[in-house]
Amino acid sequence: MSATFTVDWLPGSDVLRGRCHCGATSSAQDPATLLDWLGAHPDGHDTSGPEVLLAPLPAGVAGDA
Amino acid sequence: MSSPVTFVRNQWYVAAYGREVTTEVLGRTVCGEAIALFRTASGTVAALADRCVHRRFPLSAAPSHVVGDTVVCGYHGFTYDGTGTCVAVPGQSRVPRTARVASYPVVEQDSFVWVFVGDPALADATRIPRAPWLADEGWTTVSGMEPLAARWGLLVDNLLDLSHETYLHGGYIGTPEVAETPITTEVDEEARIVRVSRHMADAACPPFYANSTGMTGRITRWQDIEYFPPCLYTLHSRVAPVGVLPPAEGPDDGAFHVEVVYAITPSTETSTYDFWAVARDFAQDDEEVSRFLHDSNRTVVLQDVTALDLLETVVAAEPAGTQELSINIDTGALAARRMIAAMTASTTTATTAAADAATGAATQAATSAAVR
Ligand code: FES
Ligand SMILES: [Fe+2]
Ligand SMILES: [Zn+2]
Repeated sequence: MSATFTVDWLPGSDVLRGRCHCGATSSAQDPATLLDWLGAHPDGHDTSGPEVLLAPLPAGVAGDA
Repeated sequence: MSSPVTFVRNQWYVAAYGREVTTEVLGRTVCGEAIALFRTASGTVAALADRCVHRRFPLSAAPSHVVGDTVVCGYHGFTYDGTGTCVAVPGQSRVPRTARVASYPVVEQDSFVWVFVGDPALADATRIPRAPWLADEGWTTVSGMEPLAARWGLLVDNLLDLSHETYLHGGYIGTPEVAETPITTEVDEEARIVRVSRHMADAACPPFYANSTGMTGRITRWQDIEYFPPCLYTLHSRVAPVGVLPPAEGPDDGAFHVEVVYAITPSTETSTYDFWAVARDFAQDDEEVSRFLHDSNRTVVLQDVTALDLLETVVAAEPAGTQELSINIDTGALAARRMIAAMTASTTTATTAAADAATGAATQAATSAAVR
């Protein structure tokens, strides 16, 4: 199985939407937060529940920023 | 985590264009390793450690020279074949059994000379990423190489985020729409590819494309990046009159296609070879277009070189852990950094694990390196 994930920048917004190869999706306003979540598969990847909204890290605190 | 400065070993790197490797020995430093490249009389490329086993004289330095299928050291005449075995020494008939220099696996492909840096037993030529346009009849290519006085990670950052075209390359390839248009990032962790796409539906036509294609009005401009870490970067660029999209079937001949290829080859920790090539599927025999695209792209590359050389001095002077700030445009570059960090960690694990299995230090190092 391919291990591909995608990050779409939703047009007209500042929101990034991540989709894991397992089908789980989440949104964030910060790429590092979203990549952390995608890279953590399968941790926190639930395809049955509602989409996860990852809280954006405050500016200047983002670990990977 | 910031731009990587360590090397990813056990990988293929572009050391030169095939045209650069002749019977004059060429010296290149790849991932900190000095390599002597030459073409033997039989036409194959040899890549040897660039230090004579006798007194360490560089085989790439005059008066070292190629004779037939061998290279003769310019200091006292030790003579090596393409595998690095010493086949003659001066004044005596017995060649010491240990007289050899390391050789690098080499593949000449897509106009590039690829060398494998790492354990030669792990060199698998089928893993070399492809840039077929550069040596294909159906395309016309201009290319060059500019040395960069900056760590290779800064060039990775630069190429994965093309929003900088708007600011750094205005008047050449940048227009306002590049920075304004959202990107899609796709990461294939198994095949180790990072893809970044930016599709501009209605954009100004920058001089780079206006002067080469003859389009004067607004354009539909697609940028589809595929990056194969660590070395090969390809940008599939499609430009067409605004609204002209690829047909559902058949050739996309309403558009102009340009394949922009970069090979990002770390030289030392703070210097990089920036190989660049621009292949096109239009105006193929028009030498004026070739000259224009060559000169424009070289100008653009040199704008990057100037910026990254400056950035290197800034980054080098800063204390470790100085923070950057990333926003949406950085998604591709951050994804690439993560993939590179994971590749570095797995190489480190493989190498260290053998030497150092008892302590468990390798696992620990790999884990902490992979986190960010
Ligand atoms: S250093 Fe090369 S032959 Fe002496
Ligand atoms: Fe650039
Ligand atoms: Zn998942």
